[in-house]
Amino acid sequence: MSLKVEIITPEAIAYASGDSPIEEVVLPGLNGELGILEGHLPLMTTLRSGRVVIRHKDGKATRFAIHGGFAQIMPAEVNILTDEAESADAIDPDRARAALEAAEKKLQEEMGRDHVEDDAAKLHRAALDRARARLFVAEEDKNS
Amino acid sequence: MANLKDIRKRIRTVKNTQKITSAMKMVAAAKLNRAKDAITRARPYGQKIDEVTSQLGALVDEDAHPLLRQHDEAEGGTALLVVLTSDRGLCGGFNATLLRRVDSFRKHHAKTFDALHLKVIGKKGRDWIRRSEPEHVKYHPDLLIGGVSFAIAKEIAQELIQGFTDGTYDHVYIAYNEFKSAITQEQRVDRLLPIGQVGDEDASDDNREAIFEPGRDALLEVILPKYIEVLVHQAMLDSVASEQGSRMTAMDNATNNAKDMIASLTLKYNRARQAAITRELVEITSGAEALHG
Repeated sequence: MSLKVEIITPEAIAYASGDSPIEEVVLPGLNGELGILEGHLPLMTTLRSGRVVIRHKDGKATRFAIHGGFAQIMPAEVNILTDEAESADAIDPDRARAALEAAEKKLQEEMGRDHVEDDAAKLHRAALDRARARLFVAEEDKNS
Repeated sequence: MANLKDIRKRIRTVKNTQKITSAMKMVAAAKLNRAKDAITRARPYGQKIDEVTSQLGALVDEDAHPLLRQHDEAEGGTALLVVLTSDRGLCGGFNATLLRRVDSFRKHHAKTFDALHLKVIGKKGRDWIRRSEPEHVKYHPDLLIGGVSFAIAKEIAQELIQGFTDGTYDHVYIAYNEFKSAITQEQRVDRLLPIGQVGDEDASDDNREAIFEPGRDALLEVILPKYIEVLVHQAMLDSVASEQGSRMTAMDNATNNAKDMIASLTLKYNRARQAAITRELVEITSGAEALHG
């Protein structure tokens, strides 16, 4: 028996490991990254914006940037439910970097205006997190 | 006897109409396939959310989260009804039957709620709003014209959740056409909020032992809104597929009617032509006889 992984979004199944045996899944948990191996205790956890790394038994790795959602973990199965999942090879690093810089600037402006963290600032921060996750995944995938 | 030229003209008009209706049928069929595909692709997420909500719901009571809090229907309160209509016409009884269903819902619940507000999505609901003049209507035209995206469903769902949590509404319903097949749609009015009895008692044992991070209440905070988002998304997907199915059937009927009409007009045309020839022959022969006479 081996671990099965699926990434499910509201509009489609973004990834299904199918018959390819999985060694480990790394998830962006609320309090840091979680590495899940086969035989994990049943766990349900919410997720941040961040990277998902699926390490196959043959040494290859599949990477995704996901934005929020949660994961349902069972001993032989990991289901990741997220509003948005982007596979590493679908991300353009240059565009991701530009988006990150734009998001950083917007947040700076917002914070400069008043020091209270209002809804607009929260939105910008979320955009920043997404951009950061996207760029991180794209670069890591290129360098691996 | 009808004029030959007039009949010819009518045949041409009907043929042109037939071309249009049959083209519209083809387009609707293609769009229907895409819409059906979208429903299929959205299904796994919906099933998972159902499963997870049910696992969490089996372990909690209705006080655990504001979205679960039941209001007694007998106590009145304000209700909101979301109505999904289409933006374009020529789709048979798609909108009319749904709006009739909505009317009967309003009559049936006229005394149940203190007030019933409406949120109408789609252009075709507008004329109906004008006619029945209910109060408190929000109108969203052209929302789904480019197809359904989860982002739109999420936005609408967030608005509904907001309205429910801040006490503006005590009940939220959604009226839409459920997609059964290309030729059948079912008009439904479903309750969105408060979330009804979720969770079945026999959720499997390994889930009972599951660890929740960060705690069950915080997970409910994340998952219950998703549950509503999924319901709205599914209703939208169903509505769009039903619209295309309904349009395809309507256009198919129109094309067949045009075909029958052309056949009967052609028959009429040939009869008229034959009659004219006979008349001419009679005139010629009788003219000739008269000369011989």
